Amino acid sequence: MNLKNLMTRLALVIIFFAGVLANAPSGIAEGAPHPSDAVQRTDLSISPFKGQPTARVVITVFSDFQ
Amino acid sequence: MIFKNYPLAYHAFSRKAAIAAAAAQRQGKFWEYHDLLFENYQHLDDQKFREIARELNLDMEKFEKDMHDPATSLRVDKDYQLGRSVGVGGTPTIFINGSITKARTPEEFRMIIDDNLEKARKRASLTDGAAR
Repeated sequence: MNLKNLMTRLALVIIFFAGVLANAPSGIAEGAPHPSDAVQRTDLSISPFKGQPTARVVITVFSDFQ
Repeated sequence: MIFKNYPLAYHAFSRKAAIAAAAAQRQGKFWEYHDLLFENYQHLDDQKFREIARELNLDMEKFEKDMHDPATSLRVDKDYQLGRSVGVGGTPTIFINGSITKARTPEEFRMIIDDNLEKARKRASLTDGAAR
């Protein structure tokens, strides 16, 4: 596994566990929660840079798949 | 957590993988498709995109149609443009509450997330106080 993909996956795992430990953000305005995660993951094209998020912590990951 | 596509030009199948994931999203399987793309990142090609779709029991006819729908690729391109507009230069680039972070270790992430949670708590208590 190359370093970049490793870092992406590590970041996602960290974010997941951080969310669990922090009792998880209460919710993101839109998007279906992943059934097995305490952290809600959304793939909608909403911008965290505009407007007021309803979650206490919004984490945005720009990534590619290769 | 919000995922934004930022396919890098020198990764041959990166953009197409993003489009395939967006097509899977149209059937409510974005994150499942996302996870399998990363599991197979060394073997991505058109055949693998279809294999993953089949593995997730997607409607293949719809999947193929959505893969070729300009609206699907536009969605990926909009993510990319957003990334460029906020200073993304490589992947992964991570923002926490709108601020770019160079954090890469569990401790660093924990510190930043805890800090943001604390700020949110303070904001909430100020709002509650003002409302009384």
